[in-house]
Amino acid sequence: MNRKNFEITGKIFILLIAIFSFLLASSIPVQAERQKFLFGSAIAHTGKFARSGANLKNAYDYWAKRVNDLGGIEVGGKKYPVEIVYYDDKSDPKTTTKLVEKLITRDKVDLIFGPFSSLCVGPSSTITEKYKVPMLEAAGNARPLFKRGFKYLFCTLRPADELADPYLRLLTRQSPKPKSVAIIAPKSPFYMSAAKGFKAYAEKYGLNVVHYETYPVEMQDITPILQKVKAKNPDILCVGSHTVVAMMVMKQSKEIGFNPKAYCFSFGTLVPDFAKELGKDAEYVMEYVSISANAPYSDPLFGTAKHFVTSFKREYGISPDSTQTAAMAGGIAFIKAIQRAGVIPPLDEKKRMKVRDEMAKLDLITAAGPVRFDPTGINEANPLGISQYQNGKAVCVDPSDWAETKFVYPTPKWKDR
Amino acid sequence: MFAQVLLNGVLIGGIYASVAVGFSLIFGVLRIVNIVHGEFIMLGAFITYWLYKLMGIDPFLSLPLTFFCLYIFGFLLQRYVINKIMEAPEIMSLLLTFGLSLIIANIALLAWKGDYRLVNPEYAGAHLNLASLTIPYIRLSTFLFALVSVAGLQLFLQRTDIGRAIRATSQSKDGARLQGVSPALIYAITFGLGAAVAGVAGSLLSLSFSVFPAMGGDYLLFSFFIVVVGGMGHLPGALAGGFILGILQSLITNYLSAGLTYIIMFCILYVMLIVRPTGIFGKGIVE
Amino acid sequence: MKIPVSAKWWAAIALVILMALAPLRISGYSLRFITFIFMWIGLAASLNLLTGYTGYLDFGHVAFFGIGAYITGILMLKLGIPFFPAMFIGAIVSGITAVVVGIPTMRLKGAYFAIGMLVFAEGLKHVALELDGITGGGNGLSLPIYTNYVFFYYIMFSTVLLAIGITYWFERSKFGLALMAIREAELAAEVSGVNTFYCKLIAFGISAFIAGIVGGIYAYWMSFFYPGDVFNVLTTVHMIIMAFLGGAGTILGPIIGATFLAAIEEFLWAEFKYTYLITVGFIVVVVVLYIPRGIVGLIREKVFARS
Repeated sequence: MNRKNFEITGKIFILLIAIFSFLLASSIPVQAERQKFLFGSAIAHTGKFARSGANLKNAYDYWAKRVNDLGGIEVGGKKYPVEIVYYDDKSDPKTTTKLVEKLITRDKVDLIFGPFSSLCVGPSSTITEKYKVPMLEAAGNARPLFKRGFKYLFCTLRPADELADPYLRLLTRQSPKPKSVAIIAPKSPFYMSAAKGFKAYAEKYGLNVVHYETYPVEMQDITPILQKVKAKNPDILCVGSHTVVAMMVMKQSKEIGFNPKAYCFSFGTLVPDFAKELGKDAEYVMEYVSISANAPYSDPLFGTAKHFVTSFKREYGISPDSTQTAAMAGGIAFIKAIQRAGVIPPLDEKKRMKVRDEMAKLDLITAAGPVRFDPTGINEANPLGISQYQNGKAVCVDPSDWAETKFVYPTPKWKDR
Repeated sequence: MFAQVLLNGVLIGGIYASVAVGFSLIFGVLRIVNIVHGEFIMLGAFITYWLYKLMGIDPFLSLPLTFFCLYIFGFLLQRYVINKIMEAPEIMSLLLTFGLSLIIANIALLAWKGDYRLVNPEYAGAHLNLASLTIPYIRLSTFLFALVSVAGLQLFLQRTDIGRAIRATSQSKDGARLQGVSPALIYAITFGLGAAVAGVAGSLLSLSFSVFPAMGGDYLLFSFFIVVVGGMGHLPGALAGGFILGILQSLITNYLSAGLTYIIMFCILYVMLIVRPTGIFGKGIVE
Repeated sequence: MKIPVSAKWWAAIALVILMALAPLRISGYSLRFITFIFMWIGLAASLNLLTGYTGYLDFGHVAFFGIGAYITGILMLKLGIPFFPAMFIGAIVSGITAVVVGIPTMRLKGAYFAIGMLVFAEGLKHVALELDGITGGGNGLSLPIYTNYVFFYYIMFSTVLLAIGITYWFERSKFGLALMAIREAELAAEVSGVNTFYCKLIAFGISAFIAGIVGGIYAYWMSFFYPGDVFNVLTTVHMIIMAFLGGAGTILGPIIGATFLAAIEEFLWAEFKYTYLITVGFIVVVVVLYIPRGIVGLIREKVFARS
């Protein structure tokens, strides 16, 4: 045969060989018995959620370490340590999906810890639903995720559209009482869900929504939007946010001299970067929290809320934010469900179903807050508080039995700071 | 209100002009669509950020350093890498600069992670209140610096010997050679200049917007718009294009919606490409 | 057309049979991995149909992938249309869009065509974001869930066979010959009686049609996507690199390019998370600069005359 045909045949054969070896490699036998519980998590190490993914991973690791310090999860008189297998989903939902399937079918994990962001939880939870593997996630609480009738998805955060409650509840108790609110958010599920929540609760608390706008995620320069908001002179600014959005809002508000009496961010300010990059400009911003050192929570395994918050702070330099708290609560929920189901590793479909059923029935208080999943799988039990930046530190200001200090209202104007 | 919206557009427009002018120059002289342009902007922004963060150097004071560093980088990049495909058609330079931009942006990502950073000096946010207008000092200063860099580049091209040599080479490579000018050297110098101005623009941007390794992409798109509207290779056109973009963005975001801004921008760009690729002044290079 | 009985045919048939039978032995992650490879082969082949044979480099090709995804998703979700008709309609819409967009845009030269198409794709992304009543906007689109992953394996595989088949037809037919004439020297082709306008639009339409099919399958397979996902410039980047790496304007090119790049990515992400794209960038640079025959030679031949 001539040279061209030879080349082509050669290429095809190479492909054949490659595929054969790949197929061969994928049928690796799996150990029949395991003395530990294996958890899997496809989470963002790189990509746009890298920072948040790292924070979430810290929380999962914190939980795992505490569990192993106690010897492991106790079932039937024996303790089984835990291990978490991580893969980097690059902040890309289809990669998350791929990796979750890998964790389930190749690594044969028992249970799944969820990725960061509703965008990644959405598609990857279809995999866990299909394989009937309970997924506990602490970073995807956009309401649409829970309208799909899934049975294996559990989220220990409160729904994104309910987060607005603590902010407005606190603000409408101040005097003089604020009357108007402006709401902005980038166009992505979580932020939009939060913005919808702000609007609904604004109406509930009798506030006038003077401006409501969503904008493309790529927009860096939101000064035109802030100018529009400034012109309507709202008392409160509510933003469906994550860290970089919050940073831009503060920086650009200062630039244009926009002085609402309160800044409410749905997420992202309770990370070291925020205060570090903004310095004094980070003062007075509000974000919700689901725990404080003073919260009256405790459980037999992990101690009190105070213990959790302070030891977390010691290890990572800042108190746990909402997703980190939820991750801890979720991990504890897993333990309880496993114990009540009385299953030992490795988990097969039947055992996982038992765990799932126990998860759905849970109603407990953990060191990281209460956990009770509503029928759609999202936590309905944990009350929310507010934290505020004062003197460079995030402190809890509401509710009163959690508070570490008094809430400062109204926020001083930029030129008076 | 309208005055404020217009003013915002003008101020940001000046900065956009300085973002695009390096891109326009490089195309005008080397006939290259330089995809690395976005990365030059990003590198400039990071230089300013790190100097400010680690050594407390004021962002305005570090501009000359940015200029210098990016000039060297651009010069070397052209001389030793891009020069190899100078004789090849545009698609090659497109692909090459494209591959380079992938490399540079992702090395930056590897080194500095994807975190969003801010250059936030003490005086950030201070503003002037004139009549009913709010004029942020930083926006005003970056606007002025941007105009200076565009004007400076134009003056350099018109008044200096090197500038004249650059213009000669862009018009006729062989003619320039006959006059004793080495095209290879001119290309490297021009590329370096384009990179330097882009870097300075990046530094100016860092004062108002967040800095992160992937930031180059959007500014590259803006540059496309500006040079197509203003005319590829025509520097005063880049100025006009920058203002048009800034004012357009400001007006549309304010009176319509933010998302529409991008759509309208792309429509205009697309229509210009089809109907009047030489730009509004008709002086753009099309081949 | 004679059917040559030669080794390459036996090898090709063996490969096809192997891939068709594979789901009997593989499942889960491996199945998904190979389905992804099929998806990328389909996309690379779709770009190849345009760029490899007419020489027009389309930097916004992901637009047609996205259109396929959204049309399929919207029809299935809002109108309850079943998958196959929805996907087919989505692909047709993609094809027609390409022809409509091609009429003005293909008058542009080389880099300007590339930029014009890039702008088109970016614009579509924002349109999808804005029209949130129809497309779900930033919240994305959630399709009815169907988790028979073997099904998706087979339709992706079928799409690959279709794309390869069309590429083969391009290679052997008079139409394909006309396209290659356009690629080498458009003006000369026009002068010698080729209706270049008509031919390149048809090629554009066909290539978009394939991309649209892949998009439709993707939408149903993932059950969820959003504008930034299906109108992502990185997708176009991958398509271009895969097509050129393997050899633009050849039948095997996209297959080799896609498989190779997917293998690299699989290898690298575990150990060296950030370096995948850096490696890809280096591949592009090295290929453009140093591999004179093969890739660059192809570019010279195929795309050179464009400018």
